[in-house]
Amino acid sequence: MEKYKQIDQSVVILNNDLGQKRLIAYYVSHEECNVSERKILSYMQKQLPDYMIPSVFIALETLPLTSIGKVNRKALFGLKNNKLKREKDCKLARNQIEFQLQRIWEALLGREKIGMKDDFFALGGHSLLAVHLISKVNKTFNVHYPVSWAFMQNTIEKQANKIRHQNTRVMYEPLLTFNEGGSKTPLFLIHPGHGGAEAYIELANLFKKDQPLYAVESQDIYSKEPSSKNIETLAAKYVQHIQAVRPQGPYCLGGWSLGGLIAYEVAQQLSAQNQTVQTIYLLDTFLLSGEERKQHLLVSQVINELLKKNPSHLQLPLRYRKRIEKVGKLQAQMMAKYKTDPYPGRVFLFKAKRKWAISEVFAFDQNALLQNYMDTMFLKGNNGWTQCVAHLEVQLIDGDHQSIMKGKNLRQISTLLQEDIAKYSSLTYRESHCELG
Amino acid sequence: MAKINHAPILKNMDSQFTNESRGSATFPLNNDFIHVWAVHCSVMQKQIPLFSEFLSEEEKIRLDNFKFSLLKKHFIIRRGILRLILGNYLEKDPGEIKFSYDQQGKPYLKDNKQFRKKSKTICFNLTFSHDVILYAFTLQDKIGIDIEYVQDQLIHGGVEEQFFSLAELTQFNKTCGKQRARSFFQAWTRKEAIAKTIGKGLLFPLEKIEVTLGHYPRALKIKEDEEIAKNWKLYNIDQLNGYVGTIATEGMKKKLKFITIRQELLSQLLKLEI
Repeated sequence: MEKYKQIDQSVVILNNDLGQKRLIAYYVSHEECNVSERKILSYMQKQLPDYMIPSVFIALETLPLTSIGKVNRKALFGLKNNKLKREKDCKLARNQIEFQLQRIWEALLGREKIGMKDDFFALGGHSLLAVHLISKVNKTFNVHYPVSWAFMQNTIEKQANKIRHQNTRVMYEPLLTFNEGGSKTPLFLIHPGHGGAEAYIELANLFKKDQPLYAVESQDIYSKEPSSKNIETLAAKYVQHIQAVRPQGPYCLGGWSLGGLIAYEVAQQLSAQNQTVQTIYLLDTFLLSGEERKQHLLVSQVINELLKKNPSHLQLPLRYRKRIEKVGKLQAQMMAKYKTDPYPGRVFLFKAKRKWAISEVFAFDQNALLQNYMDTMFLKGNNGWTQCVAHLEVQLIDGDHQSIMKGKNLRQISTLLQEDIAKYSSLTYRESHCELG
Repeated sequence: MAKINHAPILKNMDSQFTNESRGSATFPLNNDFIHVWAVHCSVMQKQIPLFSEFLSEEEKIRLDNFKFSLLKKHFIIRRGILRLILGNYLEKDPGEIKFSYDQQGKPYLKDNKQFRKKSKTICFNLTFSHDVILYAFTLQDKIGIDIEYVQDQLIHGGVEEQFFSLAELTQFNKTCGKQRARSFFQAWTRKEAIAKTIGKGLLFPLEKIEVTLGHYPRALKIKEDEEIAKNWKLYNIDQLNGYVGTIATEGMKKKLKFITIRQELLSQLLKLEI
């Protein structure tokens, strides 16, 4: 490490703090500005095998010395650094590529719950499996990596980053497949407003593999000129994408926020084809009255600002994130126009129990508008669905419109959702068989 | 730490191996031989606590990277036995052996002049698959070894296209049944053993190492070069039921001595002082 020109002195020690042995490098540099730890890292990676590379770098002004002038290792151990805590095991996929890679790795290694930072070879991967991995990666992502790639990119995180950069033009995939197998009724989630299907990655992580799960991606975010005019035509396209993988019902449909409204229209169109729609799952979707829709048009831009902070958005390439604003406006217009017909089937609403807490600071008039809108939404019984839906079930979730899609709230939704689909799957199956008989 | 008796016990053990050795029975390592040591992990479980005492700090860190206890155990056995064998060649305690690592993480002896006779360097390489670990030792020449447990389920999805040359693919597509699986693993281990000898492992493009697919092991072309390929000596390892393997060296042809470490031999290797 000291061979690196910006580093004057360094000590590497073995730390066993959080139940995990790790190498920590303490260094002193003469450079005034920050030394790039990434550069040191890549320099060391050229010289040393992976497991000899420190996982944490800590810069010091001087190395602590003992009375006889040796490095005081005890004192080094005492230097607490929050970097240590940050190094947590990251088990969940954060985007579609990581999700797909995780599934490939799990199938190859015959193990569950592989973390994003786990080393393929420390999980029992051997060279022939690495060849299989490459073969599968090349096919899945339409790339042409040599076998050596798996040795350089030995974690899911590294591989996903490389693949993402390879596909600088991230292709528009109309339908994301999370789980294919299993005999239960498949669930199709429609992307929410102000974003894409990446909003469902965290939920997909929580789903069992025997529950088929797909997400319909936003066509407008991925097209140069977002052009959707109304929810009906958009839903008609989405019906095609859904039927491309599952030509026949029964179907479960669902979506968060605007996604639920589009799912509602998709369900109407599938029912018109005489297909069985088992249940529509609305994740805090609102059915707005005429007056409320006008209000929504006014606040949609402010809502956009709020939703931008959603961590799943940050997984999107920048140019798509930039487009979200325009798409959000378009969606507000579509929503204002949408004529909601009554629906005879079963609808399950997950309603956020809490009022959407606004931490951002907006201009005074914007703020007043927003507060007013939030109050209206919050007070809306059953989010406005009672008059349109014959069989409505409501489950309150402890969170606001955004926080229901995270953490323990989302885990609750995931459990209830899967139980409900499973329960009704057998019923739907029996019914369709009775009809045939 | 367990103390090991330094007597070079291997010298007097020829009778133990005559039924197993493929060459004449000389011991210890000399210029004419490649020693191949075989271990079944399943019979070494009891020795794990002892073997873990041999490990260096570096090896303990590496051990910690393995997420599952089975993999941890295998690693301890791999390194424990490696230290034990080297300890006997070098007349040292297993725990005293110091390794250096190349960029690919392949271990070599830090002070290679440790070998007491003729200041020759010991070269070695190891491989494992399923329940078996194999070690190859030789003097002077670099060496690579690879073993694979033959499993049909590893031959699917056109995986051969990732590392077979066109000529090899044509030949491979003519095989079927049991012969197909055998050809696949023979070719794979030949390529892998050569790549490991070169020292790049799978960073070397395997389709550029062309080998025979049949029983007779030979390198045909290395990066299109037939002359260079002629320098390579390949040896089949077919002593282990259900496994296929290859040893590769560059240089003169040597005899192979195959040694299985069973309980009896292990306790002699260990010769613990109480």
